Formats: sequence, C-alpha cells, structure tokens
Amino acid sequence: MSTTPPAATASGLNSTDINQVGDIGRQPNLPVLIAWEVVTQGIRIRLGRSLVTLTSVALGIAFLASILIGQVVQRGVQGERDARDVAIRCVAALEADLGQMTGKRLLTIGAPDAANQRLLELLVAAGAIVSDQAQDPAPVAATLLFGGLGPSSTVSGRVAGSFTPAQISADPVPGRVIINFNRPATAEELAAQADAEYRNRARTAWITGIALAVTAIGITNAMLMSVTERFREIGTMKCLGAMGSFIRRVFVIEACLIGVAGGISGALLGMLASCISYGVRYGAGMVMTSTAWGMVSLLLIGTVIASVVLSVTAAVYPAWVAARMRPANALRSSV
Amino acid sequence: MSTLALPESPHGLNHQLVDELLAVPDHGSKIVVRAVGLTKVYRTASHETHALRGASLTVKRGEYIAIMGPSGSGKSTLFNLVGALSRPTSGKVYIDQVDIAQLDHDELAWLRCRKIGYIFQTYNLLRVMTCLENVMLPMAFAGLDSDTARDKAAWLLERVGLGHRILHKPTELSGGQQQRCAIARALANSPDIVLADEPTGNLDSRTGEEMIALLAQLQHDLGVTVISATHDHKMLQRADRILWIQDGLIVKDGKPADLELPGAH
Ligand SMILES: Nc1ncnc2c1ncn2[C@@H]1O[C@H](COP(=O)(O)OP(=O)(O)OP(=O)(O)O)[C@@H](O)[C@H]1O
Ligand SMILES: [Mg+2]
Repeated sequence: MSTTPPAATASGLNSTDINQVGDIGRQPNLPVLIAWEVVTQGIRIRLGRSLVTLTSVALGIAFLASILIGQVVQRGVQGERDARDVAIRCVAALEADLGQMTGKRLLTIGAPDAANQRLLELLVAAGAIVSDQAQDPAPVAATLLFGGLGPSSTVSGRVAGSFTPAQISADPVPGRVIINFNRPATAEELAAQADAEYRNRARTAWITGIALAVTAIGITNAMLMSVTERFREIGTMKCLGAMGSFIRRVFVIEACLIGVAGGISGALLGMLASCISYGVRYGAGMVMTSTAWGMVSLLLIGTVIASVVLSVTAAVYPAWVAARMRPANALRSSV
Repeated sequence: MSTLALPESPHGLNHQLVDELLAVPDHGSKIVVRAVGLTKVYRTASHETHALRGASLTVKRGEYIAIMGPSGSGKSTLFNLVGALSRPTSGKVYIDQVDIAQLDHDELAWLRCRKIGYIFQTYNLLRVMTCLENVMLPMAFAGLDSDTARDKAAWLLERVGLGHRILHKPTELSGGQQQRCAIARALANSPDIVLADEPTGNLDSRTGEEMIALLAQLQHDLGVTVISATHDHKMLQRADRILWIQDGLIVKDGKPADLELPGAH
C-alpha cells in the first residue's frame, strides 16, 4: 500500500490545502530554533574552519584589548613611579631639615593624595611615627599639611603663609615646624598640565582608533570568507525553500556566537599579554598594585561588546548579499 | 513495484499521515509547466553568450521529460529558468499558471519549497547534516512540525532504498547513495515537479541506470512530473518525451521512438 499513496483525502493538513492551482502562499517564518540548530551543527562539523574564524576574531580583539589595557596599566605604573619619585625627594628634604626620621613623631593635617600617601609610607618605613590625631599628647617633630589641588612635587619649606587661619588655629602648638605640601599650582603649570593631558588624550584616541580599525578589518575579512565560502550551501538552502530572512538569521546568529567567544577569549588574552609585558618590565607587584582594575574590567566588557558588534556588522553585508542572490548564481560559485 | 515496498517500520511511522502528506494534489489543469520564448544572455566583460535563444515548452502533469543535447547547448540554463533559480533575459515561465516573474523573493521561496524538487549532478546535500536532516530541512522550511517531518523523511528514505543509512552524513555515503538521498529530499514537500540536472552525471553507468529507474518509478507511483536535463542515453528508454536542444533552441520534441537522435542506438 505504501508504494502508491492514495489520492488526496479531505484531510485538514495544510500542505495540501495551500497547494491550489495558481495560488502562491507565504513561507512561514521559522522559529529561531531551526536557524540555531543549523548554526550549531555547522560550527560543530566545520570545527576546524570555525576555529580559524574564531581565532582571527580573537586575535583582533586580543590586539585591541592589549593596546587599551596596556595604556591603563602604563598610566597606573607611571603614576606610581612618579609618586614614589616625589615621595623620595620629599623624604630627603625632610631629613635635611629635621635629621634622621627614626623615632620622630609627625602630625598630618588634611587629606594626603596618592603621592603624599607614598610619602607617608616611606616615612613610616624610615622609622617615623605618623598620626593625624592632633590630641596626641606626645610632642611632635613637625606637622605636615596636605590637601588642595596643587601638585606635591615640591616641598615648599617651613611655615609658609599659604594656609588658612583656620588650619593654623587648628594646630594645637603654634610655632612648631610646619611643612606645607599644599602648594597651589601656578598658571603655567596648570597650562602645561592641560596641554600634556590633551596630547595624551589625542594619542590614546589615535592608538585606539588604529587598533579598532585593524581589528575591524581582520574580523570583516574572517566573516566575509566564512560567508562567501558557503554560497553553495546557501544556494542549496534557497532551492529547498529558505527565505532570505532565514539565511540572514543563520549568519547573524553565527556571527554573534563567534563574536562572543572570540571576544571573551581575545579580551582575556590581550589583558594577559599586556599585564605580562608590563609585569616583566616593572615587576608583577608594581603592576598588581598600581593598575586601575576597575577600568580594566570595563575595558574587558567593552572589547567583548566591540567584538560582537564588529562581527555582526561584518557578517551583515555578505549575509545580505547571500540572501538576495539568485540560487543559480549561488550554486555556481565554487570557492 | 514491490522492490520499493516499505519495510517494517523501525521509527513508528504514522503511515496514514505520511500517505496523506504524500498525496498528489488533484489539480484541475493538466499543464504544469509552460515556458514561452525563453532567452538568456550571459554578459561578461569581454563577450555575451546567448545560452538560450527562444525556447518554448509545455509539460503536462505526470510526464517524464528528458532534455537532451550537446554540451553547452543550454540545458542547465533551461533547468535554472524553469526551476525559478535565475531570471530569463526575456520570455516567461509559468508554473501552475503562475508567471514566476511576478513573484517576490519570499513567494519564490514558497514556490521552490513546495512546487519544485531539485536534483543536481553534484547532489548538493548539506554535509553538516545527516541524510534524515537533509530530507527534513525542506519540510522545516514549509513549517511542518519536526515529528511529522521525521516520519515522512524516514519513509521517503526507505522508498529510495536508503532506510538503513538515514543517520549517516552524506560524506559517509557513495555517490549513488547520496543521489538517492537527494531524490528523497527533492520529494520532501510532495512537489508537482522534480527538476534534475544531469542526475547521473557523476555516477557510473549501472548506478546511473538505477537512478533513472528510481525516478521513473517515483514518477509513476507518486504522479510527480520529472524534467531531467541529461547526456545519458539510458534516459531514452524511460522518458515519455525528449526535448532535443541545440544552440539554445529546442529543435526536436517528441516520443523517444519518433526522434532521430544523434548518437542514439
Ligand atoms: N553563469 C554563466 N556565465 C556565463 N556564461 C554561462 C553561464 N552559464 C552558462 N554559460 C554559457 O551558456 C552556454 C550554455 O550553458 P549551459 O550550462 O546551459 O549548457 P549545458 O547544455 O548545460 O552544457 P553541459 O551539458 O556541458 O552541462 C554555454 O556556452 C556556457 O558557457
Ligand atoms: Mg549542464
């Protein structure tokens, strides 16, 4: 019985309902699940090829991440080294003024910035006893005045006239040695600082732009290849009734997957690379303590997002072309 | 006929459902394909090729037609035009009375999905999928639920003699087996027309003969219209009608016995 199926029965099955003479129906929009299956199966079977695409994306993103994170690490290390330099000079100045630091009591007023924090650490390391408690009964050798916006690169010397009456009256023992680290910056210094900052920002933007462009070109190339080498498969699927939207969806899903996987592995790889290279140059401890890890994690997330966005945009155009291709042309192409 | 009888079903097939899905739609019209004055010019930077120069043909429902002719005569071009795989430079193709030039991309997808099944010289199976999945894919595109599609695909693969290989990947199969799978896939949505371009071109003579017999059998059993471009003279014995094409024109059209064909014995 099964060799000759009976003529059409009055069944409710839609495949026979729609097949009326001269009637062209609409292809149903397939659930995303089918596109997903086609993609995952494709990736599994073409594992080698998928890995090549993935590696291209990951390397591009690793390059981008290492450039961006490298800048953050460099800034952190540089700041730390500057702060230490300043602190060492300050300690030398203090020692010139007050003699050996061992056992000396120092009172601090105001909030020390990062550089001054280093100074305090060095002073403690040299044997000084540092306290910000003015009520401390023991006599102090000197009072250190911190705060304000000025750079702390210069020790301005004994009691200068540049602090407020309130601060002086807060000093329990007037006339004592007061070292002012609160030197306001001069106009020229502020201008130079702004200029340096501007140039630094321009350089960062330039390097970031170049890195982004290199990465984008690499990813576009990888995605373009992975779509064009499958024109034949696309042509076949169109012969079987795949709509353009389905083809596009397959490639967008695939680009997303590759973008996420390549982005995560690439970002981690890039971070590792820049941390290791700076770690070798300046010491792992230096990198660990001086880097702004919050910024680094933001950059990690940012590069993963960039990876997905770049991969998807790179795949959209060739997928669009593939989806609109006449099947005969798609089938002819033999890449 | 019983050589292709359905073996004991290992897949719990719902035979009644499958039979209904495979049922030949009872259409009013006898003409299933009509092509009028088809021309196709391929333009490249250096020159133009007139692959077809005004070919017309009419195919009745249930016919087995062989398009024959020398290499480069325009068989594959005609196959692509009739199959809505490319656009003619001029002329019209009607499938079931519908002028396919009027259809948009999605309507063409619908047409390719349900009205036409394609068979290629190079099989064109999706190598990322098993035979079963290859046959199920057109049904998925048609919106059939996957259980029904699996039943029908397994049934079709058994019909073409590939029941024992349904979970194999095409790369694990011989050329003849791959072409059987492609034939099952072409029949997935019970099309009115099966179009084949050199279906035996990559097969040895005996396997080619099996393929031609299988197509003839399916045409007979399922009432499907078969249009096959071919070089293969074995097709002469099976085809109801031969279209002989030369230099982009159909120069002979008739029953195999009535035609004086070059090279035919
Ligand atoms: N995409 C194309 N671009 C340019 N010329 C083409 C293209 N496709 C076919 N042709 C040319 O059109 C003519 C007809 O080609 P077609 O493929 O239809 O021949 P055929 O009869 O199928 O030949 P064969 O038996 O060798 O397969 C040939 O001269 C061929 O070179
Ligand atoms: Mg050909």
